[in-house]
Amino acid sequence: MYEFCHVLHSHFNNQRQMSGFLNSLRFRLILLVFLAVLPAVGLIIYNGVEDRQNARNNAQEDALRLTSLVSMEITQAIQLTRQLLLSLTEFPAIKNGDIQDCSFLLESIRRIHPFYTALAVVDSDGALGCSSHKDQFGINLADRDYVQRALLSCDFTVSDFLVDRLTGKPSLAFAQPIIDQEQQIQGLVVAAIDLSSLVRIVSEVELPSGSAMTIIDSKGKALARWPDPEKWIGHSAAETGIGKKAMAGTVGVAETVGMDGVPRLYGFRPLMSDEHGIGFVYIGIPQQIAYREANRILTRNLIALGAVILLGLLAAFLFGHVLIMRGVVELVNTSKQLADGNLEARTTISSTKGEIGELAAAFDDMASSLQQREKERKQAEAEIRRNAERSQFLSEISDEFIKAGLDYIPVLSSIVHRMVEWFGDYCFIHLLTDDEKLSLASAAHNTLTNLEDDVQPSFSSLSDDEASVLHRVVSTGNPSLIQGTDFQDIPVPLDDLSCHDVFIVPMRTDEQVIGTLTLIRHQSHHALTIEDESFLQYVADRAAVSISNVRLVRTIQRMNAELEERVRSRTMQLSLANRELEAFAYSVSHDLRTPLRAIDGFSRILMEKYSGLLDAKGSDYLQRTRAAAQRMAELIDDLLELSRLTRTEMRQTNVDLSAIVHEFRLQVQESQPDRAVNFIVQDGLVVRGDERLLRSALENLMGNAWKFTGKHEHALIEFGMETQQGEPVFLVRDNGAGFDMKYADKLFGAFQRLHSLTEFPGTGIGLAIAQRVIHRHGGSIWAEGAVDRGATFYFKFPGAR
Amino acid sequence: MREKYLLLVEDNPDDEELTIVALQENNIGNPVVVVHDGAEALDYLIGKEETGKDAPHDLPVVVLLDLKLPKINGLEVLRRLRDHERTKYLPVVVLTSSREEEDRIQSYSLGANSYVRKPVDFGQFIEAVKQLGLYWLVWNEPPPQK
Repeated sequence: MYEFCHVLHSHFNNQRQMSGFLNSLRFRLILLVFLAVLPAVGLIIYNGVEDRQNARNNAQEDALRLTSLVSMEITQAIQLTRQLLLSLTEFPAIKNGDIQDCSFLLESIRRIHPFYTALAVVDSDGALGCSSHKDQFGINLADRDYVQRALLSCDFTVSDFLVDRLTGKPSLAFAQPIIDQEQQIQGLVVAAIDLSSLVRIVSEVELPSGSAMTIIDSKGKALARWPDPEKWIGHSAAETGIGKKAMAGTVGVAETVGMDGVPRLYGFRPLMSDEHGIGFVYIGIPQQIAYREANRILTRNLIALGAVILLGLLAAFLFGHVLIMRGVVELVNTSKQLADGNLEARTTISSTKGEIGELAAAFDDMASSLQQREKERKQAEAEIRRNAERSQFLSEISDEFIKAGLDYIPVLSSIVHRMVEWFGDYCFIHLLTDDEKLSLASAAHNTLTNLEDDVQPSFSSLSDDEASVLHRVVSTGNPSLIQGTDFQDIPVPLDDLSCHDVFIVPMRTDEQVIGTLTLIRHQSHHALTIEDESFLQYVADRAAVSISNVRLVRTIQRMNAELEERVRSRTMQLSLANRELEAFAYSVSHDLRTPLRAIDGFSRILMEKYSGLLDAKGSDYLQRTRAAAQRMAELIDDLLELSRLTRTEMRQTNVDLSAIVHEFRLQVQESQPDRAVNFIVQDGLVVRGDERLLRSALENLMGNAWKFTGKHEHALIEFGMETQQGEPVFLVRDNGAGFDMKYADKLFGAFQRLHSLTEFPGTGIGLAIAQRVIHRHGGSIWAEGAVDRGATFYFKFPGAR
Repeated sequence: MREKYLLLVEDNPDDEELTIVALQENNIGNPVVVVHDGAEALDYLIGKEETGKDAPHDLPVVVLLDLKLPKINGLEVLRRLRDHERTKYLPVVVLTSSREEEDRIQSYSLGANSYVRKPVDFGQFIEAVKQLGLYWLVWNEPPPQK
């Protein structure tokens, strides 16, 4: 995978480099040089073309001139041949037809003129007569074109390419009619020349090197060719480009190919002899040869131009580097430095240096703005980081306070140590003591350790002067930032420490300032600013609130302890009193009753045994004495009951109040069956409480109702529950004697009676008992009523819910 | 045959008189021995501590014991009687003015045979003494004496 990526990467790299080069200034500069020399190239090429044109024309003219020379040579040779043949016709040996003589003559001529390979006489039928080759017989030339033409035209003719029948060689033949006296064609004198002889003729014409000269007959067959005659003689050129042009019969030039396929510049013309067309001649100069000079010049010029271009490019490269590239490279390098993070990088190009200079100036502006933005971004980042650190800091000290419980001194130590670690060099916390002095609670320095031990003795309690700055912060509740170097006022625990900034913030709770937090920085490079204030204040307040809470908790704990102690002591006193009360009640129970019994007993004994000694009044008094004793016994019993209700321990159970009321009803109805009292009892009223106490209370309330309805014929007693202000309230209501509401507050007092004993008996302790019971259940009891309109007693207590 | 008698432990002379009157009223002719404090009662029933000997006389058929007594109170007397072999099963009726629950619980737990509260009303008192006398003197079979 990595390799693949690497390949891809390098591929893109190459592509980028390529396109980078194409877009580079240098490339454009080079392109500019090329464009600049383009006209010169055009001119040179044009000149080259022109030169070639001229060379071609010249070559073709040369070729044409040479053809004319060749033509002249050939024509001359043919004229000579004609003259020879014409003269032969006049020879008698020829005319007479004497073979011996004729052959001898022809033989001789052939020997004299080796140019002719064969000489012969043929009759008008074409049959060979005498010849230079006397051993040859029976040959007929009637089928030969030139023979036929000569016989028909009665004129000199020249053959096309043929193979001589006498010599067997490729030859050109001529025929001259022999005219007899009757002006009839007697025969023909024919001569043949070896084509190589023809070649020899034309070879004398000086041809440019590489040139080719060709003579073709009227049919297009090569009669002569120079060079390489053997190779081409006898071959047809009728279908070649030049062959076609030449055979048109005009004089002209052409640029085409011959039999050998080599492109040449040709001159061509027909070969004529006395108006008779013999054939055609053309001479071709190879293009390569013809254009050699022109090409050489063109090449030379192009090479020269190329050199010039190279020089130009070199100059562009070098001078471009000096004039343009240096600035550009400077820009590029500077931008690379920028990209690498060196925002200080600037170009060193003067802005007066034209476009590059302006570009550099713009670039420098951009770099400055980038640097500025980077700086702002870094500031923003630092701000965010600082805020995050501070949040973490706060969260950590909050945690520490929570974990620390009631001992906050280690947390203060942690705070000052963290403060110097994170924000400053030196930090200490003073707390106000109870007597309003500032006492060093914790201190930390970023290099000095065990600072608290060092500074504690000298600094634990500040004089008023020393602490004036801190006290001012405490009294105003406002933080104080002191910047500069003059800190004589600052109570620095260690004098040899220099201070640059001192920040004192009050440690505030909602109500008060409980101390100060001081942060000091020695150097100015990370000086404290007013921006630090809110954070420091927050830390200080956080610490203050926690300390205050701890102090509050401690106070509460102390108060709790005191309270518990007080409760314990009270309880002890109370139980002591209770014991005393018990002893008292016991004593009352015993000792107060004993005399009563004696009073009653002896009174009765007096009445029974000594009644004769007493008059009626005396008996009445004795009776009263006994009644009083009896009543006192009741009072004592009730008093003991009341006392017991107060003292006995309560046992909480579910108590069915309705059932108690029913039991009471049955009991009283049984004891006083003559009374007709209507009871209305709400069933199922079950509460949580002490059954014995509640029974006592209810029996007293019901007993009261029973008692105070005693004089009513239609007595009604009701027990039930109703809801008042969302709370269940029990009530005992009767329609009896009632009471005056102005005595309502006296109803529940012990031994308080609103009726006379003769009206309604009783000790007046019942309602006191009922109230005591309800109070012991944490409830309350009250009454409503009117004289002779009945009374309603309400009570409620928590166990009723 | 030993004569059946009652032992009354009562420090209050009024109550002593009333009790004796009540017994007479009810025609209970058995002798009544009266001691006036707890120590005296123990001396009488168990024997003087310093002599180490048992009391020289028979035990009563029932002890009518007040609780509030000088020197040694009634509950302590009861406890010591029950601790002693001779008086372990001796019938003891607590006869007191107190109606305190605590007194009743303690009396029964110490082995009192009965607990009677002296009514303030003399008529009731006479009735109570009559019932007591009849029951303990006539109907109750005392434990065998050694």
